[in-house]
Amino acid sequence: MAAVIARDLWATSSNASFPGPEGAVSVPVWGYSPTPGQCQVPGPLLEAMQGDTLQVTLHNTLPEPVSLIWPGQAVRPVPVKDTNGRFVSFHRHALPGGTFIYTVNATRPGTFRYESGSNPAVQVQMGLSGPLIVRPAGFSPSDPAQRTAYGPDTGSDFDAELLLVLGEVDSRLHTAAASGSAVDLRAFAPDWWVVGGRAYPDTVAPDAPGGVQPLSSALTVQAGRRLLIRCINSGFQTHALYLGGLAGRVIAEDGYPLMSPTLDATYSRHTLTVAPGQSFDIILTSPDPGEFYLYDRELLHCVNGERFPGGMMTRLTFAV
Amino acid sequence: MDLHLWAKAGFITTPDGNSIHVWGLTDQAGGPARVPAPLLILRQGEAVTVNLTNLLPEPVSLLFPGQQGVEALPEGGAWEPVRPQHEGGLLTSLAQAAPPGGSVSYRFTPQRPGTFLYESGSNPPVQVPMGLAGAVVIRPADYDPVSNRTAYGAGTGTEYDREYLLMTGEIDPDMHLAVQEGRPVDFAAYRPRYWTLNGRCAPDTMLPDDVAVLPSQPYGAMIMAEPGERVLIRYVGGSTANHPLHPHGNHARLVAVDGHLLRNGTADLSHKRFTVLVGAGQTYDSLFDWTGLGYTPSNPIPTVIPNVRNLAVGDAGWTMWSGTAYLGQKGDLPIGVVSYNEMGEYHFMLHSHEEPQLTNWGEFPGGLMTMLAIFPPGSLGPEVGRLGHGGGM
Repeated sequence: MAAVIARDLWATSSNASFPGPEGAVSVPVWGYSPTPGQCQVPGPLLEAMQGDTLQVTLHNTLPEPVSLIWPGQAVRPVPVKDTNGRFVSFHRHALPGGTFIYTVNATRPGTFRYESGSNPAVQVQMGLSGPLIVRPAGFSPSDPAQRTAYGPDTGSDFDAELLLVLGEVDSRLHTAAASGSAVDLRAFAPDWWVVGGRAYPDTVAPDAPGGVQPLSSALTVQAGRRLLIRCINSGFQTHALYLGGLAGRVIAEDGYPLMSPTLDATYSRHTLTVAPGQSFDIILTSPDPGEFYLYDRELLHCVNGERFPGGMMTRLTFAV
Repeated sequence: MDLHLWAKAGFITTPDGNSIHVWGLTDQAGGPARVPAPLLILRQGEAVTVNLTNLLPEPVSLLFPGQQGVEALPEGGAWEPVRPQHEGGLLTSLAQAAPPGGSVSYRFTPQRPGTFLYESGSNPPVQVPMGLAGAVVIRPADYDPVSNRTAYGAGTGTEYDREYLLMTGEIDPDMHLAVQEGRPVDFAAYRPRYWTLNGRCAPDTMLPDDVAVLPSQPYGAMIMAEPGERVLIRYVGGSTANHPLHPHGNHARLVAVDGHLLRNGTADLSHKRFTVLVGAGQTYDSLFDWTGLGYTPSNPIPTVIPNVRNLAVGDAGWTMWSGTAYLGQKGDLPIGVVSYNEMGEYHFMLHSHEEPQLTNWGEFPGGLMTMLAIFPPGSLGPEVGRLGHGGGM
């Protein structure tokens, strides 16, 4: 039953917290929020069923134009130029204080993201991006036969799911952009690497509903259960997702399932390089209980400052 | 199989004369630290125990990604599943570690053939770039070095005549110096100046295994074969960056990634690539056979020996030419040149397509590059293209 899903997103500013050598460090962020209050990084999860229409109203409270682009969706972008013909946004934007309504037909299931198409080198780094999950037609979380990422016979049935949104934070860029100073993009140099907007050990802290960084990336599932990992790289660097020493089965790339009636092109990996903007869906399981750290095998991203452990790491527990 | 490894400090050298402090492993009591760590050649179904003695100033552990049922024997403990170690709820090590001066053992039975890594799970952003990582090759249960030489077992389409393993690496000399001097590492300032294959920068990559001048870098990276032979190259992303490796002259077929055959039932998912992005911590097995531009033994490619004035003449090992296939034919040597293509072999480059990395501290040529040489038929012995050199493990 196709539905119209109306959502409101406010582009706002807030402060996020990252682990430093002497306690938490506060860093200004921009993000999308389901309320006019503080923003969230990453942006709130948007969910739709295949066939639904998403109607997202963007309210821009930031001092520059902000937009939403929908990589992988059948949306025809309408670029915006200023009066001098200079390119401003990849797609229609909301001016400061203004709004814009985006209509997205969710035609195929998958793991996607949305992000700002305005001044994206700054705005996406500041936090203006979020995950979008489109459920296959007939999806039912309570019916194991219909609890799939891509529909029946795609090898995508799962018992539990975990969303890993990878990214980086360059605190100097954030401070400059938030204060309205000039941003020197040549000097882009992240000082935190994040999963779900948090750096380890914050990644394994519980969900914090209503907070700026609400998303935990830690999960406990029963040994032998099929875990679906939806990994999205929302950052600007590649990251090599190490699956804790376990073998994961890649079942989809960029929201395209690899199994069809005529060909099973799924494949197994221990580690997977995920480029900026890519998404991978991976089925992971462990026959035995145990704790497994998932982290960036580009190991220099697993630090906070001068110290390991930190950064882009999280923990998966297969319980008895 | 019972193996002993010692983690210790040492030095490697680069072709520009630099000497770099490293942390490596050796399988020889009292031997020099080796980068990369000794290649472990194991067999599917045959249990292995790896005993690690730590001669470094901080705890060291070993991870065996992709191996199942790995157990650890910490000092004064009993065998237990390998697992992350915590203190006050915070991760201290990804596996049970050997304290400085102490030891730890690991054991497992390889379940699947393939190409894998092993590496330190303690302070890995420092210890892995410092050199505590190596490759693991697991032979299929039915492997026979003479009659059944395959990467993944009979019937998997992975037969080969010669095999090579190329492990990538990066070296930021400032990181190594900081570790040498006991200073903290400034990760934000990390900037490699050298890029390596099997721990060596070009042109050292083209030297043979076990050369006396490189005691801590015993693995060569020169690919050698004859026309029509099937060559297996196992690429291993040993350090922390991704490298697009590109062999000239051949489109190689990727047959496995991370030790998993690219095959689902009857569906063959292997595919050709002329550049393979070898990701950090990942392995890629590729197969090619060089047939050349219409080459057959009875119809060698017409040869025009180049005028000496058109050659780049350098020291032994650097005077090479591959303008046209001239298998088995060579002209007169310029005065003072010991040899160029020694047997009239045909050289192709194999290198990273991030070409700033073909340098040694900014000087081209160097870095992440080697040669792939096709030799005249019958000129290579059976010992060429066999893993297991480099200290004899």
